[in-house]
Amino acid sequence: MPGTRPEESEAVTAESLEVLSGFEAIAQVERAICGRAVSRSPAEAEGLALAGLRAASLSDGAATARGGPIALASVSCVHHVRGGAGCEPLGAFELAAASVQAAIDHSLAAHRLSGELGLPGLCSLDPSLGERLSLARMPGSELLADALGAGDKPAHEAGGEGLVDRAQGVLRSVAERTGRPLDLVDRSGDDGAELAMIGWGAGAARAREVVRTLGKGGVPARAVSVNLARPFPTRAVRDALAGARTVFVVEATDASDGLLEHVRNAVDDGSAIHRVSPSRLLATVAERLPEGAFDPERLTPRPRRSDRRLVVLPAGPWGDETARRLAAIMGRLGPLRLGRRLRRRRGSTVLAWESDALAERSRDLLVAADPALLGPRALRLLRPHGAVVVVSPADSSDEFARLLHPEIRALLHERDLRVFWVAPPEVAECEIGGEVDAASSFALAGGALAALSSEGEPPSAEAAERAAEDLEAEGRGDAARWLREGARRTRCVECEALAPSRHLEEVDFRPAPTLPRLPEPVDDPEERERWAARIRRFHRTGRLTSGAGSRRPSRAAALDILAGAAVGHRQHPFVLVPPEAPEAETAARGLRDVLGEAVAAVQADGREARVLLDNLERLTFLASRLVARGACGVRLGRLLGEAGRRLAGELELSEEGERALSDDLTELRRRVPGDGMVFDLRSDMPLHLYLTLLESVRAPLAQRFLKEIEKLRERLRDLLQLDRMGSREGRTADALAATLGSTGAERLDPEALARTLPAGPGSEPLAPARRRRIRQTLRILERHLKQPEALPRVFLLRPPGIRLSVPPCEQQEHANPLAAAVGLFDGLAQRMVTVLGAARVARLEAEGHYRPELHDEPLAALDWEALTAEELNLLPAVAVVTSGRRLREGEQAPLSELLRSSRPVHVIVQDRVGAADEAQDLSRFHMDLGYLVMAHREALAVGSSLARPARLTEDLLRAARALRPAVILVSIPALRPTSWRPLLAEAALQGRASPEFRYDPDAGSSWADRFDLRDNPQPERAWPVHTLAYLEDGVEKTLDVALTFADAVAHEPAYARHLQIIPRVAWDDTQLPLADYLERANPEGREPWVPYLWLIDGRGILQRAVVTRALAMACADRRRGWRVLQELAGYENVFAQRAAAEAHAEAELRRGELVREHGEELDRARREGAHESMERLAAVLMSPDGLAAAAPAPVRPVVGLPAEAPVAAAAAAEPAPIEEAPEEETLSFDEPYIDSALCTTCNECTELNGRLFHYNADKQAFIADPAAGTFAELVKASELCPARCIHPGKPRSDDSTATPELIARAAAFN
Amino acid sequence: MYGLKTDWPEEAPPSYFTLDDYAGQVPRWCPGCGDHAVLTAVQRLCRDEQLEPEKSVFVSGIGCSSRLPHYMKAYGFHGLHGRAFPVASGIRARRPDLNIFVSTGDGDCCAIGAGHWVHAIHNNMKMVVLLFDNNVYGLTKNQTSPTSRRGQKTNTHPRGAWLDPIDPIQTTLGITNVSFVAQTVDWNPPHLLATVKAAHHHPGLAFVRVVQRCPHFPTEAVERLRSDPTQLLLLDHPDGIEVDEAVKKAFKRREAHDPADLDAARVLAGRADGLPVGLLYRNESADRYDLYSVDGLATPRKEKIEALREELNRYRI
Repeated sequence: MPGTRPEESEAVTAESLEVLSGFEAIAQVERAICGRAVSRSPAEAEGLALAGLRAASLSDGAATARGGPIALASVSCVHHVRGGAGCEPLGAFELAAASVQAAIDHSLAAHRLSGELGLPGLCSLDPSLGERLSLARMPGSELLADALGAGDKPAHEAGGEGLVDRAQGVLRSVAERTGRPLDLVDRSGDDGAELAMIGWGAGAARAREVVRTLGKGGVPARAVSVNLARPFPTRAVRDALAGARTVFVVEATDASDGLLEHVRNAVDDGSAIHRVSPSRLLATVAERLPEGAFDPERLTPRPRRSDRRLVVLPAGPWGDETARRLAAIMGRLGPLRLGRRLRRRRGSTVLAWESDALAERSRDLLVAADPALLGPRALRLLRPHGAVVVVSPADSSDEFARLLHPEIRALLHERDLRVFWVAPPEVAECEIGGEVDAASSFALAGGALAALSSEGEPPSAEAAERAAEDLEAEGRGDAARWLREGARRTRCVECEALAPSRHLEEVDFRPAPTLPRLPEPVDDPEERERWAARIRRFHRTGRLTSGAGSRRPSRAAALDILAGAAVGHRQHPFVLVPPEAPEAETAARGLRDVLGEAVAAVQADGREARVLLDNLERLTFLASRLVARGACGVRLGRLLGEAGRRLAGELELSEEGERALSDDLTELRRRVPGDGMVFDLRSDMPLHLYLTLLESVRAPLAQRFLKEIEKLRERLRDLLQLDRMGSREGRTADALAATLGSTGAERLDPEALARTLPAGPGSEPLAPARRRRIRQTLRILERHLKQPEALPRVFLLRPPGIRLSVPPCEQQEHANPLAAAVGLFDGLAQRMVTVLGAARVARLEAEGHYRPELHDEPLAALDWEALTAEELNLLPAVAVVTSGRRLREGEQAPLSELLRSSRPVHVIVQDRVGAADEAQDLSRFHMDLGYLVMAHREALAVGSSLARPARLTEDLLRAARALRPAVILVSIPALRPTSWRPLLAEAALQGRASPEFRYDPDAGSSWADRFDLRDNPQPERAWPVHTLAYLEDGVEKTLDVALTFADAVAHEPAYARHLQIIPRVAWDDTQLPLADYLERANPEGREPWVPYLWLIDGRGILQRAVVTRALAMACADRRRGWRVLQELAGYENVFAQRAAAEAHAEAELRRGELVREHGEELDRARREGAHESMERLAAVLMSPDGLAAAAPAPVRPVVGLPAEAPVAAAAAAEPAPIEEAPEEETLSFDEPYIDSALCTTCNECTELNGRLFHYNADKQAFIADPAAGTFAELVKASELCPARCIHPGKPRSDDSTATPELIARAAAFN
Repeated sequence: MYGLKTDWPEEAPPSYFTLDDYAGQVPRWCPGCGDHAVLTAVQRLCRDEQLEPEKSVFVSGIGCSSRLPHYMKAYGFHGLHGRAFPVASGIRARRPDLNIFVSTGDGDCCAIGAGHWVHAIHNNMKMVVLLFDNNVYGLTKNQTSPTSRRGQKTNTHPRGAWLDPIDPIQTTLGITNVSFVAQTVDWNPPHLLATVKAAHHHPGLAFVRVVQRCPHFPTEAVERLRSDPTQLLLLDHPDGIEVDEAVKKAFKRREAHDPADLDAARVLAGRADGLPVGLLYRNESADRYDLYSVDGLATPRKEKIEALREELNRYRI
């Protein structure tokens, strides 16, 4: 086995021996070192490292060269590079492994070295070695602790020989602990030989192999394996190659900075140095040796011919039968010896045979009835190059391989076992002796014969044919048929399908797919009327033509309406009150409103506050300016103080006026929430606000947790103290003296006290395991209490290019923040979980509820997923801030991965609307990020706008409380003057460029509960419609204007090229307002209309500006995006409309039926009524007195009353049969009894006769056995009983104590 | 995914305490003593309410009744004569999470401990007080107790007690801030148990006088009550002690009494035509001193010292 040195590993302890592929072994070692396996993504590993944990990632050389994860400082981060040594000089050092075992040892050394340097490094392992299965010694926990324990002291000394010496020390230190030699270079072979080979990685492995081969052939040679590839250990190599006349550098590449150059630099004694590729090494060396000195052919191992093994994996009762049948069939091909080695081994039947006929080509063979039966143990019964035959319903090699466990695939691949599968025969065709499975076994036998005689594709059926002929000669034609069929059905599995890389964790660094693009406008060749043609050409191409008006619009009419309404201005700046306990409804309010109400309150208290009232607007303006120029988020109290001072400085007031203003300002400050935070509309405001709200949510919980664990600490200390005091040690004189203190020790004699105190145990002592657990828990809690802020409460990751000045929080710039966030959260969570787990133990221990059998295992496996909601709130919050542009361009993959990971990482996306680069490529808008997030279902998705601070605050608060992934998309207006921002933010919201929405998985069980679109302006419409009032020829007119996406961005210079003023003379009916145009436009763009926007110029005159088709289509795209949201929210839901229409039609139909029935019934009633009236009238007229006939007619039954009703009513009226009450049992007073409920437990009776009187579960007496006592005792007990609840009854006939006198005494109690 | 691992077995496995789990030493009271009935009632209360033994503490002074802590398998404090109340108050002040029971006798409570009795009632700290009243000093072999009737012949007054007895119920009802006063008899276990349960659920100091007999020195007054059911007056009210109708039948006389009416309770307590049995008075909103005393109990020592230092720093010398 490569890398295994059994003779050297005898001294190794605390290690386990396992068969693993190289990369699996590395993954296991890293899990043992880092607490988790090698990370898939370097960024994730980096996140873990940021959280202060060791981390490693498995990546190929190219990916490592692309990214900069290794460039991090102060990170203990080891990367296993698949691309071979020397691919890129990244990291402080690089170790190259020549075997899997060396790679494992290198992991230990690299972590140790990284820890000492405070820098990451590389470990490399050639892919051919990494995918191969090897027997490897895995380090145990003791060895890990020993080997890594001293490596956590960053020294920050890197480079040059200093690092080489340090690396040598570390490598030797690991070697001492593992018992395996490990140095800068490893030597093997004859140390004094003149022929030397040197290599690293796979080259070194080949050099060693060749040196061994040469040694067997009597040629002395030495091999040198370079472990430290960078910095190159020149001195060590020089020493290792000293005296060598010929040096072969085993290296596949011819890079200028390869091993050859290093060796030439190191060896300067005139040795001949040749580079040779690993595959040509032996041949090259043989060529250069004197003739006859070495014959490679002589050393080529020959296959052993005899003692082959046949392993049959039984499936059901026919396994042994199959084995025998196979043996019999193969016995026909030559002498087959059975007997001594025929045995069952771990459920397998093992046969040995020797067949001269197949000697050269036969191989160990394993036959299995099902792929599931294949196991590593059975496979290891085969020597390498054997074969496996399996019955499997597969159609292709790949499909068959998928049926195998990855470990089995790897083992098959590693041991070079050829694999054949036999398609199973249909059961219905099996007619051999009634044995259903005989067909399968013969098919297997056929396959086995074909496999034995096959060296490759396709398997030869010659042997099977010979065996079949023999069977036919015996008259067993059916068996021969199945044998041939089996051979025919046999297929060989392609080796690629078994490659172990299929089941290894593969690193995927593929870039995200490019975004879809909207179709480009096409040229319109149609030439019509001149102006119309120019306008149309501009609309379609966006190219300005000479003669066309090039004046830019001053303002979109819709925007003018918004500006007139001053929609956003009253809301900015706004006050968050109070941040410590924000309530969603009243959390954020405009500063103007807050100050206005406060002044009104001052006046309501009887103060005139005239100066303040007159200058309130000015005060608000000054405060707003201070906020705009200062840091984001200032305290309202402080702000008012400063603004008030400036106001007083501006006003030239008399002394009295100044005093009045000062008093008024004091009153004003008293009435506003002084600790409220004031925020202005700026791009970093959402982040400030989020962090402020997060702090308000989490800080009280953290404080509460600290107080709780303080109490738990005291409780655990008490437990230990009590245990110590109750123990023998706690009762010694010294311990008692310490307990008594100096004063107490003076008055009491501790020695005497120690002798006096009882020696026996008082309280039960703690079990040793429990004591250990309590001490360990106490240590963790105390450590946390000493440094409660050791972990940051909030960790913010940001990409390069986003500058932030945020409140105090840990923040880090990262190239791929979304990918790193997962690792960072895991790392921080893992550290906090230790404390939370200890708190759980402490709670259980404090109450005495800890049960090792119940709690040990879950606590050992505790991770963030098992935490409660309250505990999750105590984990450090990880937030990522990024931009909408980055997300659209290439961060979808890490975002999706993050959302699917369920980790409560919150992503704040600053989505800038109207940016110049977006105007260049309008298809950027196509991707709705919110919809993308919602598609992940379990993440909180919020779209919010700076235009509505109250809603934004509510959303951010919801996110701050969310214990799930959350993405908050905040629309940020383009960089424009401050006074424009509220207007532009509002325009972006209304133009559906960034609609407000909320998808909260916690909000309810139905989509309608979870999704909310209500806060958008006019959510039922495609675009909000506003009414514009204007003057034309002195007449006031109105115009309904829809605010589209084009209106929202019309002011941006970057969009100016999409608009062109239409001279008024060119206005005609082929021009449509953009909203109408979008209703009518067809995809081909062959409509006769051109769209325009309403503008207002500086003089207030209406203008039309034609819109390019590109911008119009961008608007259509926004409208479609909005329409999707509308449908999700139930606006104009087509399904609902269809259902309503159907219901309406059905109701109409029913109504018609009812009307018809009603008419018919009415007619019938009229007819019958008339008939009856006539009959009664005739009867009255014809009867002598008229009275009898005048009696009321019998009442007709009510129409529709069920016919059963009268019967049921009658039945109900009938009296129910009276059930006979069970006859009460006649009480007899002949037997003694006790009225137990009255017993006072006074013990009188039980002491009198404990067998006669017993206590029940309520500790009250009853007569347990009347025969156990005498009548005299019963009477005596009755007389003694203070509750008089014992009734002696009558004496038994055989009771001799029953005297008449006693019976008379007893009568009083019966 | 978060939320998958929800089967965390943090809760302790369910346990059930039986009467035996509360049984301490074997009682050494005389057979026939009413104390047994009280002990059984308390144990049944603990069992029915599943009170954790380690969360219950029984405090007593000196006397037959005061041996009760020995017979309960829980925490116990067999204190000095008459000092059960201050000990129990101290425990309540520092460990508000415990169930506290005080067992005291007519001598322990009404003679040497009378001062503490008055203040304990006044402080109204949550606990259950069981006054074992047999009208005689039984443990010390028949001496006059504060509740002995006039004329009762004892070793200290062979010709009969000279004075009328102290009535513990009347006395308790006369103390400011009294919140729960009930009276029962040992020979009616269902009523006794129901009374003790009501006392346990009361959010203040519940004072229960249990009239009981001494088997060795039975007094005429108790014997008369025990042998003649007409001597007992059952107080009946929806807010009173809840017992079954069958239990009520054991009482020949009933009278409606609203336990919220303190004046009526005082009148009832003074009546000579029968012993009122049941709940005389209850006021759940009476002030409790323990609620003030536990304030700040959870403050860590470090913070307390810091606060103290800050307070003292305000004074300059």
